[in-house]
Amino acid sequence: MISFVRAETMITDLSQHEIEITSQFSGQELLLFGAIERHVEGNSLSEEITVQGIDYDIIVVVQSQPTELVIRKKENVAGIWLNKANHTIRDIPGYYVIGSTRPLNKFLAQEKQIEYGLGLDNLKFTSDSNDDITEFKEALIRNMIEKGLYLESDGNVTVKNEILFRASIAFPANMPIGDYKADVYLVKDGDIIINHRTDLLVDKQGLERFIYNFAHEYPPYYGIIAVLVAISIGLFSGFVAKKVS
Amino acid sequence: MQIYLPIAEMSMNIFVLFAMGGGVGFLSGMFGVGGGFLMTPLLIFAGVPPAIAVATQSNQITAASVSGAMAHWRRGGVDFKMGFVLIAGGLVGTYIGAMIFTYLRSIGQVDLMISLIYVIFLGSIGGLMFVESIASIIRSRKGEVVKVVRRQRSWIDRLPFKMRFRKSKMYVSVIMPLSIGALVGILAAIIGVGGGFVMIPAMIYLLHMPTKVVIGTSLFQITFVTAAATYLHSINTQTVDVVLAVILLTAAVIGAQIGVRVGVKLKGEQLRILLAGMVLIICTKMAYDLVVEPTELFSVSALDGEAN
Repeated sequence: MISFVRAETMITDLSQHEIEITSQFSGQELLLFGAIERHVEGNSLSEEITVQGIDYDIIVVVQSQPTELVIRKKENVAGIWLNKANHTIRDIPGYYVIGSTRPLNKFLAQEKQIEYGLGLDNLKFTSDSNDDITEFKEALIRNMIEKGLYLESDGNVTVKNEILFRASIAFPANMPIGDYKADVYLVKDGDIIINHRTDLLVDKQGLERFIYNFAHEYPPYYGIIAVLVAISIGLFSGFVAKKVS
Repeated sequence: MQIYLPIAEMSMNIFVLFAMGGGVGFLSGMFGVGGGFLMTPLLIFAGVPPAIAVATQSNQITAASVSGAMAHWRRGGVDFKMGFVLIAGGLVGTYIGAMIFTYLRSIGQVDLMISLIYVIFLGSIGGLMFVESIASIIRSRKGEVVKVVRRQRSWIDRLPFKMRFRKSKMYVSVIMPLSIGALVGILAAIIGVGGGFVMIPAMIYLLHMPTKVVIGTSLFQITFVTAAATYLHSINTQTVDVVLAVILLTAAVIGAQIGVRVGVKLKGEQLRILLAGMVLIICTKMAYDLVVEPTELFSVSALDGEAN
């Protein structure tokens, strides 16, 4: 009896490893793609590596570095709706997109999803409170989906010839800057057999970067320059208006 | 064409921004008002985070008022002594206002404060203006002549620390202009307006300043106070978006020139009714948003930011 040891390797890449936010930036789409290689060791018979049907599933997760978010709830006080209760959620990504070949529950056990933090319901975070904040957590996810910063979609990872796969990932203009990671999970028989990570950097570039950094690193000078810019444009336009009229 | 705003961290259509700036500039030129009270809510309705809208507005108003102040100065329409007293009060007010603003932002209540101040201040002033201009139209139709009432001595004249203002031919206590200046400063820092809509009536009805120096002196004060507000917001909250301000004010400058030319063709009462009507529409919208249950009760923001 000859036993076969089959092993897979996977290579993945992003169409771009850096997203530059410039003055014309209005969001961007990146392609996350890769290939699965199947090896058969201990046997040279080539027919053994042929078709087993689609027994692989792929999950892709792109997320930004953990951040801190505040979720506030409006309550009616004396007839007016105002922000009242709030919770600070820590170690949560400001951007999280997950895609897969099929709905997660069809090929991966709930425990595995929780273990790897896969899916919006299984997002890992810490909170400032010991109370039950389920309502706040759900609202946070709902709000982030609304802003285009969170997304869970099955079926957006397409596999070709059982070896090539690709997924299109959308980044809206309001995405946070910083380090991102793109994880690809290869799932077979309900097990994650390979996890491959690619890094992605999102940063402002050019004038946008300069203005942002200047405003945050030298606030007093930024303030003075903002005022001077306004005064010179104001005086200049007054001068032009006088000439015109 | 989209443009990315570096401080607001959002992408907006540049033509929409031009239209907003130009539209508000047109109205401000036509009515002879600053326009901050129109632009701030407009920016917020367009999705700009309230804190950014307020701070950026301060920056824009500096530009809008400096040229006006210069023009009035050349015509001798600025009482500098009164202006400096108003500025002194204004700077204290701006400082207090900017602190209040920073605190409100940290607890996520900037939106609420903007809405409340708008509804209360602009609502009452817009309401008064509306009633007053309708009354004056009715009077002029009936052919009645308004009698000029000699002003009565009031409690304002009994206040201490009197100062002589030669340009305005007045001898009044500095407490009144200092407090008016301070109130305007607080408003400028919290809701991103110049404050002319509060200051001009106060100068006319409380200080009894001669009308020919009222507008010039108020513009002079607004230039300094909004510059201070811009500076303080830059330091405290980093919410001044220069790119947004420059786009809006470029468009506003052009709009204002057209507005001035249209404005001279309309009657004073008609202008005031239009302006009052617009103020009341904005107030109604804000009041409505305050009292009607929102469809989404929750809002998410970065830890140091405000809800957006």
